[in-house]
Amino acid sequence: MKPRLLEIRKGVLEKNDLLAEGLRARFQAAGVFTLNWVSSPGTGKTALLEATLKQMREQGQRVAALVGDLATENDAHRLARSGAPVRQIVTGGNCHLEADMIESHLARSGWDLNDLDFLFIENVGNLVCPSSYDLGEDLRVVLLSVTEGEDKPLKYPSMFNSSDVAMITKIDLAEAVEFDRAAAYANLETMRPGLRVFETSAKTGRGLTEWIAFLAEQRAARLASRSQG
Amino acid sequence: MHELSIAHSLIETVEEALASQPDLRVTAVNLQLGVLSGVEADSLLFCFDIATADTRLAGAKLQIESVAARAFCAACGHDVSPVAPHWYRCPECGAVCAQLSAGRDLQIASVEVVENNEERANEAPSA
Ligand SMILES: Nc1nc2c(ncn2[C@@H]2O[C@H](COP(=O)(O)OP(=O)(O)O)[C@@H](O)[C@H]2O)c(=O)[nH]1
Ligand SMILES: [Mg+2]
Ligand SMILES: [Zn+2]
Repeated sequence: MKPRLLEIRKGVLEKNDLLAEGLRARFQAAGVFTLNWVSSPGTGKTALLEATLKQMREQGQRVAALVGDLATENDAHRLARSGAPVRQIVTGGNCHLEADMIESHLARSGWDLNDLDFLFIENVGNLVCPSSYDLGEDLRVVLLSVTEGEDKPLKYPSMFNSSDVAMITKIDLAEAVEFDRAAAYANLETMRPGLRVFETSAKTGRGLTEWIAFLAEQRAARLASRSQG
Repeated sequence: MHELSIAHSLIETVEEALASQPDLRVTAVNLQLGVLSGVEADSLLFCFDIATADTRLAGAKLQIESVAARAFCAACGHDVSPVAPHWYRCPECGAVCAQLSAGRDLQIASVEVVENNEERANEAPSA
């Protein structure tokens, strides 16, 4: 019995993509600007996010965060110090967040999206797997610390390729580790021409003002595009 | 490693596509995998065999067709295949190509199936 060929033509992650599109529409309708933060473990996502949440709250922005972790709730405790509403997503070994986790945690959070201006999602520390999963974000932010090597972008093309903004973190340590700024920028530009790059330090606060102003601009632009179409 | 999640999604997608044909057993899955999909072919093959056990894809072959990156270069007017690490650079003229038209693919093109009952009929000694 010879097998028959049946055409399927379906994306393997179509379900996730559809859920993500649904989330994106909800965020858009509620005026929530959403960011998906991705990096290796230890790059400084939680530290920078805590500083970002704190400053934005002081400016009267309504912010909240979802944070993914393989096993612990530590990051949520750190982020909650900013005073912002925070929810931990323990993935139980899953090395990335998926759209259905965002959806179910939002449902259980009791948050009203209409009461939020920004939603930050800290993904699981991993530069490979999260690249395949759309979470409905407006902006994918990839973080690269000065301590982890300027050639990271070349080693993880899918992640850097699919990101909208890059953050060079721990810039306070740049001199100590002889960070090669030109090489880092050249590699980022290779992976994604025109990629917007910020340099920040969660420790000294350097670069935060510019970064937060950029976020406000991006949200305003998104809201304007919504009212037009 | 997310290849196990990918394998489960793959099985789910096939199951859904064949939901109205419960008598079909899958003998092969033809998958298009982009070089920039972020999915490792070897890990996926390994996970596929594990994940398909006890499904109607059990024993099926995963046949992976690697899909190169493709872009249209506005500068020289050619359809080109950029290569690592210069995914956004035209290999012919060196200009920046901002948009990739292929390379992130993670798509099931087709499956090969047999009828479960026909197969049983074939196995039985023809009296
Ligand atoms: N010097 C310095 N250390 C930092 C900075 N940001 C984070 N760290 C440290 O780097 C380590 C990992 O940071 P964390 O925020 O947990 O990284 P995550 O795994 O990406 O969330 C911690 O020990 C932080 O104190 C920074 O801007 N400067
Ligand atoms: Mg963290
Ligand atoms: Zn060209």
